[in-house]
This record gives sequence, structure tokens and C-alpha cells, in this order.
Amino acid sequence: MRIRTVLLAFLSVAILMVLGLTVATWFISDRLAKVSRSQEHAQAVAHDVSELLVLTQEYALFSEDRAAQQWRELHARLVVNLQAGANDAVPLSGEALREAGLLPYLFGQLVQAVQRQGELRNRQKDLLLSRLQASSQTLAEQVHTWGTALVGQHRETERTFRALAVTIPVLMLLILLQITLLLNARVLNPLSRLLLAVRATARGDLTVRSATGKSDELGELSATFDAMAIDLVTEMQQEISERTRAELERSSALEALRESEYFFEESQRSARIGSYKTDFAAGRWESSEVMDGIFGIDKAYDRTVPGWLEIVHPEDREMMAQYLATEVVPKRVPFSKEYRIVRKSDAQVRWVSGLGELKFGDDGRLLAMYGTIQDITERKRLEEERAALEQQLRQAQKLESLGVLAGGIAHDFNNILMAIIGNAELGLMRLGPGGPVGGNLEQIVKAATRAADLAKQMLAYSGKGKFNVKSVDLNEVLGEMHHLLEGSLSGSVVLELNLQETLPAVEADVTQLRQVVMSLFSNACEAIGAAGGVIAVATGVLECTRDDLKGAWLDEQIPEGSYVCLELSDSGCGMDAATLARIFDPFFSTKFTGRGLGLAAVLGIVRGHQGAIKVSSEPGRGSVFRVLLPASGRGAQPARELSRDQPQATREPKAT
Amino acid sequence: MRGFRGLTHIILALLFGLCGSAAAEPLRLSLSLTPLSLPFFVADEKGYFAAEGVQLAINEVVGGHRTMQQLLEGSADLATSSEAVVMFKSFQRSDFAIIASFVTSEDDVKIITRADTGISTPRQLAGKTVATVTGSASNYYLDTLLLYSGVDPKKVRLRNLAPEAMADALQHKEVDAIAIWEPIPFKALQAVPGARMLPKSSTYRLTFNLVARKSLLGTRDADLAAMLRALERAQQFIDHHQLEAKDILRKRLQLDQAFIDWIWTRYSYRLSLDQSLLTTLEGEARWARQEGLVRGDRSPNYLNFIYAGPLLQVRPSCVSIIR
Repeated sequence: MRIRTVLLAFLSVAILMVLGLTVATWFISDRLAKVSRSQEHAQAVAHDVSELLVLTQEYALFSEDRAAQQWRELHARLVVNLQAGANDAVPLSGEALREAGLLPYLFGQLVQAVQRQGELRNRQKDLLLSRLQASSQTLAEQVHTWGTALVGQHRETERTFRALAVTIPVLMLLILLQITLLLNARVLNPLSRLLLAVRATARGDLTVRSATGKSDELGELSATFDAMAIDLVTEMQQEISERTRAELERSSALEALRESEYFFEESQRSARIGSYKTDFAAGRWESSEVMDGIFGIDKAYDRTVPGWLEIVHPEDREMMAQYLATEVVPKRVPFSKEYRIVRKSDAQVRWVSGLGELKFGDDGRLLAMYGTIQDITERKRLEEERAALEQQLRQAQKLESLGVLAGGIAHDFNNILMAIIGNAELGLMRLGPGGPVGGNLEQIVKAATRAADLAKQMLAYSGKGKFNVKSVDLNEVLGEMHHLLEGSLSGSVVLELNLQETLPAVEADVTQLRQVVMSLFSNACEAIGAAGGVIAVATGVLECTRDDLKGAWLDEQIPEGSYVCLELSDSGCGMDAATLARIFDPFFSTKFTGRGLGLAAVLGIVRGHQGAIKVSSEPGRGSVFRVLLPASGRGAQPARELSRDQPQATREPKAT
Repeated sequence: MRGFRGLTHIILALLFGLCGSAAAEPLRLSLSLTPLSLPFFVADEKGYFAAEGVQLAINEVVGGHRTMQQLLEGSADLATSSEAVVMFKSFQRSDFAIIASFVTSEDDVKIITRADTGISTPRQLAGKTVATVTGSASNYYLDTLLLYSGVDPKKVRLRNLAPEAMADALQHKEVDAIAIWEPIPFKALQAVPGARMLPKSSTYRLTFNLVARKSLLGTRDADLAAMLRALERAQQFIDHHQLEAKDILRKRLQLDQAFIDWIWTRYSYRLSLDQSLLTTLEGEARWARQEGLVRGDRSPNYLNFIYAGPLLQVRPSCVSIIR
């Protein structure tokens, strides 16, 4: 029920009670007045009845007319009062009225009896007197009963009035109390709850509810407030949820971005790709950490165009400036150039690949360039290595082809020469000494022998010569050749031997090894020439890795492992790269009288022993030849003995 | 609430009956078959006696003179009778007392004549034969009416007849008139051709009373009070349920509704012990002595024939006798 309705109801009840009290008071007062009047009537009637009884007795005794007259007057007054009482608040009983109405008849009979004469008179008088007495008493009793009823009515009315006078104020107090309780329960308490909820809401606590569960005004207000709070909570929860989701998304995005950046940076770092942005209007550029690493600069570096040019290798600056000025900017094509830089931190020369996209303004003015810088030094190095390898491969293939060709020719040519020499020697034998063509034949034998040597060298170069392979101690071979080599030196050349004391044996043809040493020694002597210098011969053992074997002259990938090294260096004129690239070519010679087969034969012999040969030389700084031969697990045999003994095993050169 | 009280009284009555049956015998009531006894009929029919814990053995007879006779003979403990009978009996015995008056009437006793007698006023009864129940209220009424009318009662030939025989005696002209209480006059008017009633007179107001043997007084006051309470309830029932009360009266008297309607307004049922009862008894006693109907020089002190104790317990305001 709504508070207004309840209050109106209470107010209505209170008003009704006040009106009721007023009306009741009026009625009670009226009732009391009527009862009082009735009581007055009753008192008067009672007095009249007693007086009437006295007059009846007086008349019966003395027969005075005065008594009869007064009796009648008194009875008339009695009747008037009785009739008045019959209409009072508490009406007199009809029996009393009837009794009063009977009295005049009886009194009349008494008067007649008194006036009679004779014996019957007294009998009648006694009877009537008795009857009048009884009737008067009955009337008096009725009046007494009436008076008693009036007193009871008066008391009852007074009790009613007192009860009303007490009850209605008490009820009104109860109503007031009820209104107070109602106001407390329905207004003040809900208001307190609402106030608490409002304060809690103001503090940010949206969980406090003020709902009373009632359908009155405050109930609606509190329910509305709660609904508002719930909406607010819902909205806040939604907002929090959205914010949380957005935060999560943002965090995820940031994480992804960080991952992306990390991945990008790591990728850049791994790929050694840095990024940059060049603001041409400001004349400055920004660079990534990776790019700073590539350039070897720190944050304080002058990131201007001159600062960039300063990093560019001096030999490439002009080319880069020209490239930008003529190829990129005017043609509005992406920047793409590989160039060298000189790192600012360690002055190391690095190859970089620069890429960039130009951004132009609406007016066609160049605004910026975004791009990457990739350190491609390693790639360049690999490319160079690969190029070298390819060059080596091409060279080896060429040599192989030449070897095959030369081997085939030399073999057949040797067979022919053997036939020529044999026949020439047979001709000399048949002619005997002093024959006319003996001299010719000898010249033929000499020339054919020289041709046969030449053919042997060609065979050696091709690797198709016959190897008498044994376990050989290289130091021992060099020791045997020491005097020979010493004897071949001119006066200004010094031979230094630096042999490792214990050297693993190699599986080799001693003759072939001697040829290798002699050919290299001859070249060294010729490189030193008359100016003089030092020829150093050294031996050792190298544990060669794949990298160690890179750059070696060989026709196939020889395995990693332990190699016996023969190093022969000179302090001669050295060679340039072009010369160096061709020194093993057959018939290539820088000497006027050279046949160009010495080093080619060396290469063929080394290849025939599954070895390798590395050469380093710079013009004016001498040359170093390093021959690597696979170390053998077996012990070496004396070279001299070996050379005299029959070969223990003959190995055919590997056909390539 | 009244039903609850009734039920309570029934339970108490049953308990009382079970527990006290050995101590208290049922009261024997000799009840007069007259409209005056209506409160007893109602109380009996509605179970008020039982509800008030009264064990009552009712013996219905015609005429208060007979009920009083049974009381004096000892065949009844209680009797309903007019004050006139009590007055007459008071000159013979003193072992009874009025407990309460429960009805008054100025019109219960009537004088019925035949038209052929020519009697139309009380004075014309002089020299005639009038049947009545001597020593009863009807006898007193006849004498007072004659005296008021200036006729010496001795000039009228009285014939004492049983009430049941009066109508027949009137019809067969054995008497010229009959002075008797209801319902005999009503029956006579219906049964006797030419019967007519003399004009009513207010010379006598009859009271009908509950009379008890004095042996009960002080010993069975609680029963007597309970009996009066039952009668008071019956009185209230009569006031508020007149149709039902009339129906009860009709059934108990075995008369038709016309009789009930004829006599209904002539009775005032109210428990009382008024000073006027004493006055009436004394007046009637003086009359009886003067008329030579009783023996004795002095009238009895009727205070000794009235016992107000039970009524004072039930309704003190109804007792106005000066004591």
C-alpha cells in the first residue's frame, strides 16, 4: 500500500474518531440530560406514589373530602409525570402506567364504599384498601425499578463516556504511534537505507542496495535508485569489461607489437638489416639500433647527410652521390644499391645493401626516404669465396682438360719417342763407332730423350705417370736434396731449412716429390733473381679443417685431417693476382726460356698424391708455396733405400 | 456466547448429575397446565433446566390448587400456584414458601355465562349458581368482583367444580356461570353455545408463583437458584422469540393458535418478589377471614412464607420485599 494512502487512511480514521468523539460526547451529554430528567421524573413519581398511599390511608380512616381532593390532584400530577417518563430515555414500563390508570378506579370504588352504609361497606373498604395498597406498591416498585434502571443507565452512560473519553484519545495516541511507526518503518528507515546506499554509491560502492521490497513511493524511489545503481554497475562492468578487453587487446597488441618489434629487431639483427628514415627537409636521418650497429655509431653521431657520406667508403662516395643524384631522385625510383662503408667504431670496411623508398610532397619536393641497410659483408665474402672457388674449379677443370689432353698426347708421343730412341740407338749400334750418320743418330737420341723428358713432365702434369708409392719421410727426402739445392743457389740467395723433427710419413713417389721440390726451388730462385734473398724450406704437420683447405689448388674436395706440409717461401718479386691465377696453367711462363710445364707438373704430382697446394703471393713481397700431402699411419722408409729398391706398391694415378 | 454458556452448563450439569446423583435427587415439580406456566414450558423445551444443572421431574396438572395439594402431600417438592391458593393453604400448613413470582395477570380468571341466563353484569350474578374452584384464585376473583359490584358474595350460590367439568356444567345448565382461569374460559366460549364473558374487571391482579417445600430451603438453594436462572433465560426467550414461545405454549397446552393469540398480551412474565405480594397475600387473607373461608383470628405472617434467598442470588434487583 502506498504511504500516501496509508497516511490518508490514518488521517481519515483520526478525523472520524474526533468526529465520533464529538458526536458521542454530544449524544452522551444529551443522553445524560435525558436520564437526569427521567430520574427527576422518577423521584417525583416515587414521592407522589408515597403521598398517594398516605392520602389513601387517610381517606380510608377519616373519609375527609380534602384527602380525596388532594388524592385526585396528586394522581393527576402523577399521571403527567408517568406519561412524561413513558417517553424518557429509559421509558417507564407499561405495567406502571396501567397500574396508575387503575388507581382512580379503585379509589373511586373506595369512595363509593366509604359512602355506603351497611355491613358490606367495611368488607368492600377493606378489600379496596388492600387492593389500592397493593397497586400503589406495585406502582412504587415499578417506579423503583424504573429509577434503578435510570441509575444504571446513568452509570452506564457515564461509563461509556469515560470509556470513550479514555479510549478515543488512546486510540488516537495509538494511531499517532502507528503513524510514527509507519513513518519510521515506511519513510525514515527506507530513507536511511537510501541515504546509506547513496553515500555508498558516492564512495563508489555500487553493491549496496536500498530496496525495501514495498510498492510505496519510497519503495519505488529505492527500487529506481537500485535499478539506477544496477544500471550503473552494469554499465561500469561493461565499461570495465570493455576497458579490460581493450586493455587486453592493447596489451596483446603491444605484446604483439613488442614481439613484432623484437622479431623485427631480432630479424634485423639476425639479418643485420637496419632501418632508417631520412628527412630531407630537416636534413637529418634516424636509424635503428641494428643500423647503428652496422654503421658502428652511437646515438650521439651526427645524423646528417654529410654524416652519412662520411660513413660511406671513400671510394664509393662519389658513386653513391652520383647514383642518388642521377638514378634515384630524378627518376623517382626506389633506392637500391650495394656499397661499402667504413664503420666509425672500428674503421672496418663493410659491405651494405641499401634499399629505400622516396616520399615526395604535393609540390614534387623530396620529403623523406624510408629504407633499410643490410650488412652484406659476409654475403660478399661468400660471394667472393664462391667466385674464387668457381675460378679454381674452372681452373681445375681447365687443367684437367689440359692434363687429359697432354697426358694422352704425351703418352702416345712418349711411345713414339721410345720407338725413335730405340731405333736410333739400334742404328748407332749397327753403324758402330764412326758411322757416317752416327752423329745424326746421337742427335736424334738426344733430341728424342729431351722430348721424352718433356713427355714425362706432361704425363706427370696429367697425373698419368707411373708412381712408385712408398711411405716416405719428407724430411729425409729434403735432407738428401739439401746439398743439391745448396749447389744450385747463386751466391746471393740463402737457403733456410726449418724441418719439424718428427714428421709423419706420406704415401708418395720419392722421385715425384724430388721433382716437386726442385720445380718450386727453381721458381723461387728465378723469382729472387740476382738481387738475392732467402729461400726457406719448412716442413710440418697441419690438422686441416675445411676452412684451412679453402683456397687450395686441388681438383676435388680432399678430406679434413692430418696433412704433412711442405712450405717453400721466397723473398722474390712476388706475383700479382693475374699471374697467380695462371701459374699452374700448362705452358704459362713468365720466363723467356721457360716451357711452362714446371708448376703444371707440380700441380699434377700433388693431385696424384691426393694432396693440395696453396699459394700466396703479392707483388714485391715474395711468394709462399705450401704443399699438403695426407699423412700416412705407417712408418717411413729411407729415401735412398727406397729409391734403390723396387717399389713396394705401384699406384696408378687416379684418372680424372 | 450464549451457546457456549449453554454447552458449558450442559457439561456441568452432566458432571453434576454424575457426581451428585447420589447426593441430590431430582426436584419434583408439580406444574400447572396454564399459560401462566409458559416460562417453565420454555425452559423445559429449550433445555435451560438441564443447562443450569437442574434435574427436574415435572408433573403437569390442571390448577394451582392441585399442584399445591401435591406439594403438601409430599408428592412434589415444588409447585406453581397463584398467591390465592398459597394464602388459603397458609391457614393450614406452614411448611412451604414462595421462592419467586414469575408472572402476573389481571385477566387470567374470567366469568363465563350463557346468554339465556340474562346475566351481563356482575350484579346480575346475585341469586345465581356460579361454578368455581373454591380456595383458588378464581374464587377470590369472583368474590372481589361481587363485592366491588355491591353484591354480597353470600347471595351467590357457589358450586365447587373441577376445572375440566365447568364447561360441561355451564353447557348443561347446571350452573349459570363459571369463574375459572384460562384456558377453561376459552374452551367454554368455544364449546358452550351462547356462552359469553362478563366484562373484564381490574379488581384482581393474579400472581403465579413457584412454591417450594421448606425442607428444600437452605439445602437445595443452589438448585433453586439454578432453576430461577433457567426461568430468567426462558423469560428472555419469551421476550425476544415470541413466535417460538407461542409455538411452545400451543404444543404444551395442545390448543390452537387462536387461543394463543387471544391470551398472549394478558401476561407479564417477570421474576419478582415484590412488597405488593405481601400486601396482596395479607389483603386476601383478611378477605378470606372476613368471608369465613378460613379459620383463625389472625392472618399468618407471610414473611415466613416467602424465601428470597435463591432469587437474591440470581437477580437481587427483582426483590423489593423489605427485610
